Amino acid sequence: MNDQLLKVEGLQTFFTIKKGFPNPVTHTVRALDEVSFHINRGESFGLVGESGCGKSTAGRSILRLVEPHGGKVLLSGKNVLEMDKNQLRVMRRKMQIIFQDPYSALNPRQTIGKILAEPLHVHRLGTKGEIRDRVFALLKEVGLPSEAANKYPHEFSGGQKQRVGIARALLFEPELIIADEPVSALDVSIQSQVLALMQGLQKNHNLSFLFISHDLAVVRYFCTRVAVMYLGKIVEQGPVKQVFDAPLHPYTKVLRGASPIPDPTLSKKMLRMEGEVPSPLDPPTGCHFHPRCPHVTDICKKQYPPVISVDGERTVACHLYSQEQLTKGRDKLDVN
Amino acid sequence: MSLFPKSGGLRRSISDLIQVFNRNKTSWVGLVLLLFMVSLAVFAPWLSPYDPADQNILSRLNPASAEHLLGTDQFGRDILSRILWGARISLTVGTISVLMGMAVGTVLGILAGYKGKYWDYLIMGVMDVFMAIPTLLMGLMVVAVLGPNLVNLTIAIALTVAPRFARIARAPTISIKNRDFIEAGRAMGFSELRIMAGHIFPNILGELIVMGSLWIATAVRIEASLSFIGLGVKPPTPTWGGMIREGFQNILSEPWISIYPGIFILITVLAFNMLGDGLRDAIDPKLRNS
Amino acid sequence: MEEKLLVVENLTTSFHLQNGWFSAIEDLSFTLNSNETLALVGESGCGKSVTAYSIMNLLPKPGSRIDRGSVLFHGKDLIGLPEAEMRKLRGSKLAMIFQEPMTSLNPALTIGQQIAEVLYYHNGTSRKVALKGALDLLNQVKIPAAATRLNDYPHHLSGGMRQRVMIAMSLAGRPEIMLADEPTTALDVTIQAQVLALLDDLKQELKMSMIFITHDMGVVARVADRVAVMYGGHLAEIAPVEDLFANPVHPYTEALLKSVPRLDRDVNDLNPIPGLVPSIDRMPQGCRFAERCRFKIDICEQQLPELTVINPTGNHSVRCWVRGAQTTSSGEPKV
Repeated sequence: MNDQLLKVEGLQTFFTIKKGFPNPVTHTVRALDEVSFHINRGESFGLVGESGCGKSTAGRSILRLVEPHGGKVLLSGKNVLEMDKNQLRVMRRKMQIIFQDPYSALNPRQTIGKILAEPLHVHRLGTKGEIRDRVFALLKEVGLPSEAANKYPHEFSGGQKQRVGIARALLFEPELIIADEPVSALDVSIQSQVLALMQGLQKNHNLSFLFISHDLAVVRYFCTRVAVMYLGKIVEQGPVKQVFDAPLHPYTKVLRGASPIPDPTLSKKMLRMEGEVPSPLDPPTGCHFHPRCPHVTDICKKQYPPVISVDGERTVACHLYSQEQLTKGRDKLDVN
Repeated sequence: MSLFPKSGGLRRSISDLIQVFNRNKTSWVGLVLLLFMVSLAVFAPWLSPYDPADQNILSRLNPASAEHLLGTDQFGRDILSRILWGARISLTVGTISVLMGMAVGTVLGILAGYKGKYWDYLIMGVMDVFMAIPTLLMGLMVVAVLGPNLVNLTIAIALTVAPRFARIARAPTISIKNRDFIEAGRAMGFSELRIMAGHIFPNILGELIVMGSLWIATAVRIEASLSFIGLGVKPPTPTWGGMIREGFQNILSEPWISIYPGIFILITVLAFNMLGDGLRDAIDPKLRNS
Repeated sequence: MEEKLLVVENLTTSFHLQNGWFSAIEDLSFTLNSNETLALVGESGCGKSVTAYSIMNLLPKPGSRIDRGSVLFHGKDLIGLPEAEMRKLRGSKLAMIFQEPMTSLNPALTIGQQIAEVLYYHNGTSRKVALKGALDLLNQVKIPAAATRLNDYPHHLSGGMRQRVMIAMSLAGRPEIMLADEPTTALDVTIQAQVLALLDDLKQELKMSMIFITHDMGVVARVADRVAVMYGGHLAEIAPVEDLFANPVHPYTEALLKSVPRLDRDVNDLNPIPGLVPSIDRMPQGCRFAERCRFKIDICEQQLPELTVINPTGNHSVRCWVRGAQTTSSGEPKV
């Protein structure tokens, strides 16, 4: 499908940790354990989950800020993971990243102007004058005054710093932007401002987003499709409204039920779930979610469920939805 | 409007510096004393009443008088003139050796901190070896191999200073390299060199300057020690440490020959320390207060 | 009949910045009744944390001062209370839990030691009894395998567990009021749900009142009985939780609720509130929200409006010239 901008297939990223004294044992954390999804041109794809699920690692692995250990990342058909240094340099112009913490995302010793101009200089994208013009144009586009170019990051608020981060991501006119919790560190009223800005930019530049967040409401607003991650695996994915309004995977149900809604009539009756998120160093056998799952059965403890396609657009990895169940008829399934 | 406001940056740095000094008044004292010492050294040819090598057997071992404000030594040389000329050497050696050590040490420290793993082990291992050698021994070794002159003296001190700066530069490098803006640089395709030199280095510069000023004080002291044991310049060139040594034979009867240069060393070291302390006290809150 | 547990009146706290003293909260007045959870909600710089610290007299010194106001707890004014007496109340009748449990727990002591210390300090029990008390508290906050946990250090526990330990410590003195400063902000959503449920249960069991500080309107809807919305150091609106969400009167509250994305329904257009909160040293005269308010009239920028009651039952108040007019006899606000 030519509409597909990014296709991630079986992506794997591991971290090794040596723990223990006096004989250290090497543990392998499977931060990403065969993750697959795709993003179409001009669309926003959400990646949600709690800490340790691997969503941030996914973003960084796609950009090779962290080197993955397996799988493919196809950007417009070319595998990013097999690129050499020069090809990578060119690829970097097509994919950019926005970080969560506006305070550490900008070099405190550089003016905003320098922060934005330096990458253009390094890639020799224009004469001094052209670069200057481009920087001013970008500042305007993200809603900052041109005087900002002479100022240092500490002179700005969190929301304004985030706007600079967005401007920086736009420098190379990328096709895909990986937004790693772009509004989580901002005040609520500023979140809306920045989200509205990002949406406008998306339309104007036909951008695709990989929107990583723990906040389901924000993802529902911004994204068209979403994948839910748990301990390194995608447990469910599909169109965002379907996944959130009618979740299939028990974890998605729990996640949705636990997210507070600003409506006291709905919020008071919230789900209660016991148990801690297991440590990624030592994930449970079989389906990672089985210790906390209200529908757990024997097979869940032994075998990781296969990814099953439901309705063509949605997939879920859960034994409740094995093929036999599906052929028996969907109305038999407890979808809510 | 320039995107690279060099003047704006400089003006702001100076006003920041003034703000920084105002926080801790002793740093002003240190600065003033230092400027005093430096001007003595710079204007020595004009200020010194006599030629420092001029011997006058008739007026040797004289205490302070109208003709010789700080007295004369055993060769009849004017102590004040020798101190003024000696300032040039002591201050120059002190400053340049630290600058050299700082340059080498910082580069190694940033490399070790940023690249980590084998680079870290190797570089810091070598640095540890150097640090294990006592300063005077290092001085002896260098001079024994290369010969006793000013340049080698400077090198010897620089070799002592460099490993310390590697350590000083390494720690903040490690903490900064994990910050998002460094990752952003990598995502933008910046080379490692650009990141280390253009992004990490400016962010640790403050700490380096503070430690640098403190270490110049130490370097002046080390020069005095090395000159004192005879590893420094050859006579009749005056250095403060050398002067103390020369005055040793007469320390009981004509103590001023050693004491006066000693006082000047004391004041210089104190001045650098006050300056450095003031800078250090102010550098951290500054980063947070703006 | 509800009893007034805490009566805060005209509380004003200032901080010393580089260029002088500036008020972080000004003329703050509200009450906390028995058996209720009052949410203090607002964004950065609104003064919600400062309020809690002022009540507990835990403001950083020097550099801060309480300019005026009173905080009556059982009729006694906490402002100006000698430190020795305040210390007796803190950790016993008045408890506080914080956002970052890693920094509130001593990394060098075991969990058991830390909880026992509180019991020992406030109840004067022996070490053995205190440790048993610690075990009971851990069970009360539903920490699994509590007995083994007593010997664990904070870094052995997850964020949610540490938060439970902090809650356990705060319960040691049988508090009447618990001040919770963003206790779940740093936690994962599912863990947050657990901790909020726990706090709910505890409130019922111990008949405790809570002042719950947060910036998350969803959490407010979940935990609060009454809500106080703060902006720029002032109380903008205070109302029972259902009223606040169903009928937000203050332009800030209304704009905030309209600008937030929702999980439970489609939001076609976010309507972001334009502009920024003014910084503490550059607060405008008059209403502090005026420059961002779409209902602004001239007087808003000149004079600060009073907090006025706007419904017949008297439990919904608003500080606004435009929306805060007195109610008519039929209960409709007069504009």
